[in-house]
Amino acid sequence: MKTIFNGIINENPIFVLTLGLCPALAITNKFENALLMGICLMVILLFSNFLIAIIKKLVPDNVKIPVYVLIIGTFVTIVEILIDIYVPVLQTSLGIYLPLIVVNCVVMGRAMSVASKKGVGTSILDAIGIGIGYTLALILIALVREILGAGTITIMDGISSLTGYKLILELPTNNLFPINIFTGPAGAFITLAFFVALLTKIKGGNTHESH
Amino acid sequence: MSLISLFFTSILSQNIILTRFLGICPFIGTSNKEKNAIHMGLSVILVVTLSSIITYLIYYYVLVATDTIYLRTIMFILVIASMVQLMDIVLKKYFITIHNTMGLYLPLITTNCAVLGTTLLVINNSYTFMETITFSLGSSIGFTLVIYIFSTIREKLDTSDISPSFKGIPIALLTAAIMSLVFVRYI
Amino acid sequence: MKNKNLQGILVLTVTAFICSLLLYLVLIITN
Repeated sequence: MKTIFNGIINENPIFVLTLGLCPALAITNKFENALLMGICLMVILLFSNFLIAIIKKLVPDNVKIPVYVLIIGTFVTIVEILIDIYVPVLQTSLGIYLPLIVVNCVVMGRAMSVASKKGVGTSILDAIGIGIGYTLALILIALVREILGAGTITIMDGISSLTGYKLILELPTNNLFPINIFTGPAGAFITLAFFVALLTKIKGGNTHESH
Repeated sequence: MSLISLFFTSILSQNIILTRFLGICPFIGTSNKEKNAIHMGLSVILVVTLSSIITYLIYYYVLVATDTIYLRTIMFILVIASMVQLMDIVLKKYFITIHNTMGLYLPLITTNCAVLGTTLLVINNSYTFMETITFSLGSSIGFTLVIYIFSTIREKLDTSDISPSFKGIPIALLTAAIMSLVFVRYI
Repeated sequence: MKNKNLQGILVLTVTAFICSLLLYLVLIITN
């Protein structure tokens, strides 16, 4: 249990570890995209942590990285194939950021620091915790960006062909909102900056040293 | 789209860091010394351009030909990793000082989203061979430009008076926000 | 030293093989 909460708060991959930021900035323009991306990453993280934790004794140090990359890449490709067949709309909304999970620092980072050192159980729990933390972070950023930037909350639009639902909440617009800047790249940077600063303050004001 | 305009678009308005958000990890995590930024940038230019060319050829002449397109993610990563390894060896042999100052950051280019991202974008946008070279050169030059500018700003930021919770990463992101506004609306 | 390198290459090849097999399986199952 503690491991899971650790992944959500203490070692939140986006707000604390600041790893895997690429999708955090790119996919967070709509709530739905953020949620689905987070789920994909959690699934891949889960499977790769699991497999790597099992075979870690068999892999000598000099081939660790290529072997892990192969394993992670295989799972990413499996997810890509499944999405391509069952939910092709996701292909367009997630774009190249889905295969990019292969080089996502979170997945590789956890594989090297947790799965290759700790037991199978810990690795699985860690994957779940980090996955939830990542998804939560993504959703939060997306909510801020979408509400402030477009005045909507897209809960289910892209995959409506699969689930049959379509839900886009629209918020009342006035002269102040929506502020266009938030849907663009600059807004992504600004939102992330404030969240990281907020969490630093909450955690007791330790300064983020630039490494 | 003409090659010239493609070149400039990939450096400026579709800048790989500030618009496409690829290559953020090294951007935020390093880029504090001008010299390191330039070395990193040059290595990235080499790796990206070479990898784009090779992955283009492999994609169209191997994967498509054998109907194994699904292998592209893994194949591309292997090509990129090999390119980085090659760079490592070449640097060690001819430019050992650069090799030592770059230290751990050289192998990190393999997991740089920008490299894999560029190779995938080439395929997604169905570029021709000439367009691939232009695009990959432009994107990597854009990358270098941004981390260089950033490294010059960064040092100044580290020594100035900023509220403690914003120090380091948040202020870096805010700077990136302003930079992205400038780059996208450079007109 | 030589043994480690050999073991490394063996593991790499086996992993590559198993991975491709896995992908092939997924394709067949979903087709």
